[in-house]
Amino acid sequence: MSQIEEMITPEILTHHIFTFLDGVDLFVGCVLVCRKWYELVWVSPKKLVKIHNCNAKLSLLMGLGRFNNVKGFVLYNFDHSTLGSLLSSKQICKSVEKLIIDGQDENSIGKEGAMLITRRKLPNLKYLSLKELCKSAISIILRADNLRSIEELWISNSEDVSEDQVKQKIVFANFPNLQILNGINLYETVR
Amino acid sequence: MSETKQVELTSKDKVSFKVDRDVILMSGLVKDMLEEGDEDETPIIPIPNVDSKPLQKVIEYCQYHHKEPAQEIEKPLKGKIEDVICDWDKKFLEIDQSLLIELIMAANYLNIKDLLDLTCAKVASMIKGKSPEQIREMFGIENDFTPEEEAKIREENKWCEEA
Repeated sequence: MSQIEEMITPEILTHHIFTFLDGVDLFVGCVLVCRKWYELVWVSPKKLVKIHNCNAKLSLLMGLGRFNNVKGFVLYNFDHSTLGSLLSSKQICKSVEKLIIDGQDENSIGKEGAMLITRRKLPNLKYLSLKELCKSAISIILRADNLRSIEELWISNSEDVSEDQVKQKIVFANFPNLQILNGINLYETVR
Repeated sequence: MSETKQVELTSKDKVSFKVDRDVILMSGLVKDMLEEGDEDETPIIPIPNVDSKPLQKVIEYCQYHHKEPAQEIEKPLKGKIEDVICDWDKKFLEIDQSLLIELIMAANYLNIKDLLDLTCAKVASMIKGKSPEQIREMFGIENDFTPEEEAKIREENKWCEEA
């Protein structure tokens, strides 16, 4: 076993070292190093902060894609991590799960940047832009994390998604705890 | 004229270091211990998790930065760490990888946030932009993925790279 694996705890890797890397670095560099790093990179809720920081479509897609692939990890983190009280609410966890995992049809992630949300799974949704979904999911998580430090970054990134990229206004009547989130409303919600 | 109060730190390998109390108060752990303890003239604080070599570096860091507060390091790093830290810190980080990792653990144990940030940012900077193979080689990490697992992970995330 190497010194870094032997001495550095998972907490230091995820909460300290990885936080200095952006989403692209984590993907191209760390994911395929070894099993432990693979899990730490992707499981850490802090990763989402970095994904957000990265300010790149690539990174947002990574976050969403990863959610899509590791349902168990997402739920585990939401329930047991040291995130704030918001995410310890089972109701919110359930909503996030539905939003990100159940609501996503793996074939629907297309170059158009929009995805079909099936009526069966989320009856109040029709079309949702991919970026909007990413923003929503990430903002929910960020709200419960270290909000003060995130705020500025969030504002700068929100410019990436313009109103006209949202296919249709999103109504989450079934999910009252999710305040979603487009344009200015998103910013206000995060604040 | 009153003398500066001192604290004696004893490392894991039983080496003692006398250091000004004001300096070592940068350590959250030592600060807590001093607050709890008696007002000895020179309290002796055992640091059983840290060897003398990294402890000496920790003291060196505190001696400089208790008067020159460290600047916060950007997250994520946009470039190399050397671009965002002062000359003193650059010189301070000219150490071998083994000591760097020991310093991370020491900073974490002693609860010195700025030093932990600095050393972790250095490791992150070493990782930044490297391929998995290069990272493994740098840190001597064994690849425990089977070729099939590796191919699967690459395939699962291919669309990210193409986006």
